[in-house]
Amino acid sequence: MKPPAFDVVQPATVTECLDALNEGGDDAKIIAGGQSLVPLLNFRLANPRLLVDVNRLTDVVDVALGPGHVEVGPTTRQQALTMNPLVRDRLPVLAEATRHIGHLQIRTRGTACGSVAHADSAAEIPLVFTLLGGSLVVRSASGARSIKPDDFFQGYWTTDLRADEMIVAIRFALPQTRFGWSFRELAPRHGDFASVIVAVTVCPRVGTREVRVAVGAATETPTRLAGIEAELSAAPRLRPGDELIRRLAADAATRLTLRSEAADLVQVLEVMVADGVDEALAAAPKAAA
Amino acid sequence: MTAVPSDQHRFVTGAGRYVDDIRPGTAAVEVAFLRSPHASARITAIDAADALALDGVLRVVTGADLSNVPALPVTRPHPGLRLAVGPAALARDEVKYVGEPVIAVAAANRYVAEDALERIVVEYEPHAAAVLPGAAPHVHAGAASNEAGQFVRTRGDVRGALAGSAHKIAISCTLARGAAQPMETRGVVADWINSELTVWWPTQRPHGVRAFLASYLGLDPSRIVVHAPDIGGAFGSKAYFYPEEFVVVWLARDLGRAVRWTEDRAEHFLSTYPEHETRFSIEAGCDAYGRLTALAVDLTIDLGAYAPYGFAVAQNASDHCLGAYVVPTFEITARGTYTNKIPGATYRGAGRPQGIFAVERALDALADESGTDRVEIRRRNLIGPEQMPYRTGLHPPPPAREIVHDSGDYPACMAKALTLLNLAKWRAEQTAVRNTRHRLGIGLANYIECSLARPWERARVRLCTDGTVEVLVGVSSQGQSHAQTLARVAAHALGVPESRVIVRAGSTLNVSDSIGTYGSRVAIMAGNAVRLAAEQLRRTGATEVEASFECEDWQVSYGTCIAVVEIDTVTGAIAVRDYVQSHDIGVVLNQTAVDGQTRGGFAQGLGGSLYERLQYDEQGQPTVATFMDYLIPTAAEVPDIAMAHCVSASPTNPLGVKGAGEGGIMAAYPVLAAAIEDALGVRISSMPVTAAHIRAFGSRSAA
Repeated sequence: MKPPAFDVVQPATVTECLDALNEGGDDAKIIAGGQSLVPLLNFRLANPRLLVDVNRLTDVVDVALGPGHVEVGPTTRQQALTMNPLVRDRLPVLAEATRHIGHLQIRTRGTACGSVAHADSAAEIPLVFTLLGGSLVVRSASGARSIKPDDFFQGYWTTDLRADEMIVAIRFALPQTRFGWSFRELAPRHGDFASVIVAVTVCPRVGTREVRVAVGAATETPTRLAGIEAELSAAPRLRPGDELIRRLAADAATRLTLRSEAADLVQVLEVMVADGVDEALAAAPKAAA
Repeated sequence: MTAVPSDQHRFVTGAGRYVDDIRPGTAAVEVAFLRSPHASARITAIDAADALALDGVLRVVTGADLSNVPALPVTRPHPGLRLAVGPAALARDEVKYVGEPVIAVAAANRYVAEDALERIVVEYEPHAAAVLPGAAPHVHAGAASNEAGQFVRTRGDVRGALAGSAHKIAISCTLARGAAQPMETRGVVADWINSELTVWWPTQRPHGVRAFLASYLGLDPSRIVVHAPDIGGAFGSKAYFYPEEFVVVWLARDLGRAVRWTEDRAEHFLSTYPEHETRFSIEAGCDAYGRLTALAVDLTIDLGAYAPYGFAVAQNASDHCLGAYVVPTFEITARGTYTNKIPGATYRGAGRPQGIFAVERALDALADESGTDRVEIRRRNLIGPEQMPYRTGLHPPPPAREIVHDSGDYPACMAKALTLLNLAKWRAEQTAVRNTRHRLGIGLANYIECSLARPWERARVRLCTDGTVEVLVGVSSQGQSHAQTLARVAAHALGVPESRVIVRAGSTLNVSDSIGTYGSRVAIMAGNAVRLAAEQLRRTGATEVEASFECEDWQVSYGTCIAVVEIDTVTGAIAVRDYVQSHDIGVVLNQTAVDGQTRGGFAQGLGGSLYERLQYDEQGQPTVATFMDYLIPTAAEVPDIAMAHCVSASPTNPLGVKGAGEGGIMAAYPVLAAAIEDALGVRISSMPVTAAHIRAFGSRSAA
């Protein structure tokens, strides 16, 4: 398949980039890694007249530590996150998640911001973003705003991003202390789009803990299991294998609204959530017990 | 002098030259095809004016332009095929499957050609589509039903024998096959210069293509040269005279210039013929000792919309329904039925895996019914070495002869397979995990593979002035290491080092005629032709000899496969923990090549057993049309396998060889079905078995 004809601009600054997007209107699209966009072009399912190539931007961050967050810029490759020492040290769940994105060849081109903007329900980075919390730094020619994950992922393939806007950075919130975590993905073959993703963090708090559980792929958007998070966080004592974890996992799995293709995955979800909580708990600092 | 580099070296260092690399002397025009979006429809109007107006577009060809071109051939006519319909070169009034080529655009390049396709307006009147075999809408006008035909072969009184059997079974099952998906898609380059046609067509049958083009274009064959360049895999999918290649060659003559087409993967899913599903109804009986008394197989093959290979797949399936066993009475009915899907053709095994599937599933069912061990029941029924050569009573349509097993020791081969893994250890582990989340299962299956060798093949051997020996054959290679194998045969026959032999394959310039590469016949037929030519050369002192090797006998390769699977009963994931294959392909000419072929066949069998399935909705739309949905096992899914060779030289040919190319896939489906059954205690009646199926088994038993 060959794409229809298009023009390309390669701005050197974010401002130039946003101006090009603004002028192009609905006919302009950002191209970063191209791992989602190029197939759409080749299948002629998308027909933007202008591609705004962000790969030559000089005024963007790669990976940087900010106050309470790790910031990832618009040209940062997924593979770069897997290898980055800061990410591996402070956000190991993110580093692990990126290892499951497609195959190595895809990860060396695909970008983190692109993955979030594209918002495939089976994508790993949107899931970890939802799990950890944080914000998106979004700019357009007319202004800037900050968007939280819950507000950004609105539905299946649907985000809050407008046509003239660009994600300039993802800010992944940093847990306050060392934490235990788990990231598990079920896919038909190595490298396939996920059928189910479950990610968990367990952070010690004074006298208790904070448990976060996020599910993706089987749901239309990455989903925090808020109900069981609260109970798990509040339980006086919590150990891997506890009956409470099993019961809450079963409960959450049956209550979740699943995509129709995932209808037969309820039991799988239940087991993966329970196993994920066990794993994160076992890896968490003793103070989280 | 320096050694001639092997094919393998060329291929892994980027020096292969595939059809897309071919650049004829003048820039070629490129073609793109507009394909039917409907499974069944009448074409009511075509408006290509906007396309023709586009800068760079040279020609738009419709079915009307080819109105004097008959339907493409039904190769392999068969007496049982009552309704034999070949594909149209371009659909004229009716489209019969999604993806059927309707219009060809020739333009300066593929980008412009695709822009032009978007500007063509075709109006259709869709009809209801026949999606399942036996469905009501008629695929072909004027036909009483969609049944293409049937044939039955029998021996003895099957019904009486069944009625009198100590144990009997009746089962139904289905086997989805699938698409070869070679790494290289199709393509063709054709050049018309001085009223002569030169075609680079990655085909399994260069001389066959030449004869076809001569007939369909009204040209003398001497004005046509066909080269098969390097081919990146075929597996049976590149043996036909497809519409696209024909139209491109037709355009070359029509425009009087070079024309090319490279198929992209999206097209490949819609236009390169796969094998569709086979459905079976099987009855079998045995005596109190587990010896077969009767076998009745009724199989129906979904042919798709046309029958490019007639009943070839059905014939091969039928020929293999007795497997490696003594079957005193049998009744094998084979049927083909048309549906509004892409035509079914040949895919590795070409029907033989279907026959093996039937007999192996029957034996497993009989074993369970009679309380006999599944391995033991096979031991009691295998054809013994003292019975060789063994006449099966199966007579394919003339001029082919009765199928006779030429040589072999089937029980010894099965015994050897059992030594390739530690069965006791696996059984112990299986027991230990019996009621846990991860279960183990073990399966065993035997297969035979009758090579489709007959009737002849030609080879030319030349002594070159630089001291090298040139071996020229018409058969083409698609990754089987033919060059190395044939060089070895020639070197041995001439008494020269292998490094001095150059093999040229796959061109009509090489030999006066050739039949082609399929059915695991090349080592047998081209190999012996090379040997014959080399021996004649050596004996007569000539510098060049072309020889023809003829053989009407069957060569029957055989083997035993054993599989150990581990199933995660929660996720449904199936992993192959161990897989062994003991097999006999007669004299081994090229061990590396044979092992490679076997591993590759196994990988395809694994894919068809656990991952690959072509699916269609009620309107006949393929719902599996990219690699996102058509899951081919990757290196991460395909385990290493242990292999062992038995060698029973074939008495049918001087080299003593049998076919080796397809043995890896022959027993993969039934052995994996058996292993999954053993793990879960369920009955597998349909393949592939996916994780979703395993989960469904679990939820059924939990309910």
